[in-house]
Amino acid sequence: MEEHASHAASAGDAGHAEHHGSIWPFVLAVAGGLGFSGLATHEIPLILAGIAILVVGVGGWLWQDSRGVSFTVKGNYEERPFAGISRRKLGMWIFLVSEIFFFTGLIGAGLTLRLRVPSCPSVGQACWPEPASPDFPLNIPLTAINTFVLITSSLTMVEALHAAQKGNRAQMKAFLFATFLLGATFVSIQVYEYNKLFFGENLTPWVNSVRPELGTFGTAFYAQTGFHGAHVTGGILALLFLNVKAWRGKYGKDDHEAIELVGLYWHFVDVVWIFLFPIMYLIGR
Amino acid sequence: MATTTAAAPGAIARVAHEIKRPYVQVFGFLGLVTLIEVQIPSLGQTFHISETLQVVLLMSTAAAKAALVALYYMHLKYEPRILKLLPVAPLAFVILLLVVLSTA
Repeated sequence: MEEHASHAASAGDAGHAEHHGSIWPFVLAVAGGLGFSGLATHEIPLILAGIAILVVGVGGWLWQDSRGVSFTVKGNYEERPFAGISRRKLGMWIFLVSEIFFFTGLIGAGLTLRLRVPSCPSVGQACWPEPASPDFPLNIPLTAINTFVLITSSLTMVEALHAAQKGNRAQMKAFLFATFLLGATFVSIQVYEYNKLFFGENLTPWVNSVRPELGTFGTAFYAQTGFHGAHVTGGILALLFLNVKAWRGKYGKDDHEAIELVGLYWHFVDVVWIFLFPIMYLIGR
Repeated sequence: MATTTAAAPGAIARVAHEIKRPYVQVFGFLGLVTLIEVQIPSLGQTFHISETLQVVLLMSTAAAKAALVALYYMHLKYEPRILKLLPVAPLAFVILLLVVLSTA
């Protein structure tokens, strides 16, 4: 393992990519491929296989990291047009651009569904509920509070980075922990809301016999907020990782790029919610 | 680590890190605008604001909030121009896709 670590370091220093040896990104890609194939084809065994390989991939990566093995290529680009920009930061931004495409497709699909049904009430056919109507199934005040929770977590995240840049580790740890707690609160409230909607309001991702007219709305709602919630959950795991390492003495004035990169992802997830909240909760047909 | 070439953008970013940025002010704006957003559907019903105008209002406030998060919390305001352009580039695709889907 020590050999691997030094190999990775020398590859990074050389500034060009030899092979970096870590198998875990490939394992995660396989997990994603299987899981999404299962979702697309409704094959439960494929979905379960994807989840199992995902757990193995994340576990293996964390295990490797806990042993001090890193294949990270640090430093800045030397070539134009990205000269002077951190390689890892550029990598995160390119990933976020791919996420913009993903969420655009998802929100676009929701828009397509919305435009193909009339406003509720509409007897005997699928319809889209109006936010100001008494029959609107979503809980706007609760989700507004949840929106504040997520916005607040963005503030604590950026303050954690700022504290690290100043070298104030105690403040950095406090803000990182607050961000983790706020993220967990957001997901918990979302789970609570899903439970109320699913069993109380009979809002399901498919057409049900009690409120069949809300099947289209339910599909759009759960797909968009569900994928966002999954992204928040991923961010919470990354925050847990940062918190554990921070409490073990890592990060500070000269070592805070990991906090900045997780922060970029976390703020992006906040930006997605900034659009999703009005689209799903405040705008009608 | 070879970082000698064109270190200026990184240096600018580092200098900017030293300045206390308006994080709390941005947070206050995000919270205030969210409060206003939540009132728009009921205000729309009370004052008979057209649905189109409500959508324009809500998407404009969302865009303003997203821009502030990207500029200040994601530090795009202090990054080199090429990095600023990177997340803006897909917006053409975003607009095209939404127009095509809404008119198909």
